[in-house]
Amino acid sequence: MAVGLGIKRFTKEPWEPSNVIRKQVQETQLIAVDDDPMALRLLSLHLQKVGYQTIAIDNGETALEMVSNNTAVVLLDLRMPGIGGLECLRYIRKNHPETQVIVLTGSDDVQDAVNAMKEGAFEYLRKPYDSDELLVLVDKAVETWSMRCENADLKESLSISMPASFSPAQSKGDEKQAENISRIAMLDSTVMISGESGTGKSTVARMIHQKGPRSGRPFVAVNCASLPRDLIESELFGHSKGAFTGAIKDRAGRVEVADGGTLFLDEIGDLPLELQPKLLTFLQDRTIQRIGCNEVRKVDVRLIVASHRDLAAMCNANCFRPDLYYRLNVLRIMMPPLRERADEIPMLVANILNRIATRQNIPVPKVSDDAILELSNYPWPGNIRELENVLERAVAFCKFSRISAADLMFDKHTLTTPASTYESNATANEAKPILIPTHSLRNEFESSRPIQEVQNLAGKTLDEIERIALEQTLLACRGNKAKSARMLGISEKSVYNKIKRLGVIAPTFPEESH
Amino acid sequence: MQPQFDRGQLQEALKQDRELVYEMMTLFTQLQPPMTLRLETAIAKRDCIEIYEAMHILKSRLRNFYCPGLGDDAESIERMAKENQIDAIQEAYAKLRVNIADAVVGVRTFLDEAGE
Repeated sequence: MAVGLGIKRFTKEPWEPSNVIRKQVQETQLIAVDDDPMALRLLSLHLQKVGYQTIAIDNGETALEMVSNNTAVVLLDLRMPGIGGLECLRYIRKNHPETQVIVLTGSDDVQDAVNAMKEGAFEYLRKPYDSDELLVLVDKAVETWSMRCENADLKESLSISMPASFSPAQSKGDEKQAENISRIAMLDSTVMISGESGTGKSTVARMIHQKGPRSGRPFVAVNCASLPRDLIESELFGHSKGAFTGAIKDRAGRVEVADGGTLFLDEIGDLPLELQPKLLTFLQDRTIQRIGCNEVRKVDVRLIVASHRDLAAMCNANCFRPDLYYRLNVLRIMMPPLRERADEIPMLVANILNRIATRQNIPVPKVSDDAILELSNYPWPGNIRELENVLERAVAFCKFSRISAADLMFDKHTLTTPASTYESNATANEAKPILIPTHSLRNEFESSRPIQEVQNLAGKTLDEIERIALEQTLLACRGNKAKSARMLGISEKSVYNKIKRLGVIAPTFPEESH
Repeated sequence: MQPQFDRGQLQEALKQDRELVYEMMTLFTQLQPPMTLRLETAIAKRDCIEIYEAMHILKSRLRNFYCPGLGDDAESIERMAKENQIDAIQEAYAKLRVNIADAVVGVRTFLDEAGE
């Protein structure tokens, strides 16, 4: 059958995209390369017809400039003047290994096709090709690309956080945590992961997905803090064409893309208040409506949320909807901060250094006792992520592959920033976790070091100083706002207003939660 | 005279996507004059490599233009070019050129009739 004519022999069912692919196609970028304008036009039309974003290019040189890591598939004519198909293929395999290449060959170019396969082409298609055959092949290539990208992401996240925070047999606490994660993974309930930044919340979310029955389905992660406020609704729930300026076509939101799989909402505490009812509706009836569209769509996803903020305290400060909080707080995982695992630091250091050495292809650096001592005494406000950064820097600057205390460069800024999260002693399923202040905040408050505190305040804005004063007073008054108001010499109403305005996380104590 | 294009294919293509068929017609007729010039220059120069390259493109273009039979004829000439049979090429190409012109007229008439 002639390519691109839409002429079908129908010896088999016409190509129909699977649901997953149907969602993916709108997001996926394809590049079609052929020096013949007619063939190129037909090829692009075929792909665009089913919704693939296709860039049509008539030469190898431009194609290589256009290929990026977002390019899922390149459809490449082998015989082109200038940079030929095989050269393009080699370049793409080397520089964009996740991108899949389908080569298009003439009927007498069998040897070329064989060579292309040897060079790592995903598949070859002989011209004239059947349009359904083409689309089935592209569909498969996109799936492979998508899987490879996901694997690469997973490998990256595993190599960064997992071994450090969850290497087996590091401690009994770790084993217990890993066991809990495995159990939680098998359930379908909403999971809330709390803990300070850098403790591995995203890694745990991925682990839950990977170990659970939805592992073969999409894992879609959305960081609520990184999305622009204006776009977050469209990003989560999608929009229909013309819903707002710039909505040039229908677009599925991340919730829909995650259908059948897991939706991970990181930094849920940063979800704007006005959007929280929409998420609540989704949690209640598992349906969504794209912006500008009346159609109600049913979506089956498992929801995992994470936050470094104390969401219960945010509810008290009217910054987070309590009804949403209770919907989310079904199964709870607390990620302990690194400063409370100081005894594990030598083991973590060894693990991280091994990984860095493997990645950089260098011998594993040795660490002196004074360096270990310094690392163990540091409060690690940035947790494992910060430990990794400090070690990465130390590896870069140490001499003779030996890290001493002098090679350790800590981020002094984070040392003076009070921690804004609280650890919960609550067990899973408890609606109201018992919260205790973090180690660093306790330290700042309990060990009265007025001179140091005054030095720390230098250079801070008045708002920051006000926030620190309010946080520390609230902590000293065990969260009692009336008492804090008296101590600060302001009205109780002002305390509430300042909590809201300055984004202070008011601590909750056991006696308050009853 | 037997039509040089595949009636069934063209009919089916019209059912599938009418606009596309018209677009293909326009594209083919726009691309054909420079292709003819390229081929005739190459034949005059007895440049078999250039004939081979051009015929390779023309072959798939004809198949995309609902003329699979002519595509096969172009493929034969492509093979002749590979084997440096320039005299045979001259004769075969002269025939192919006439047939392509007939095919264009045939497709155009078919579309006119189908449009009525």
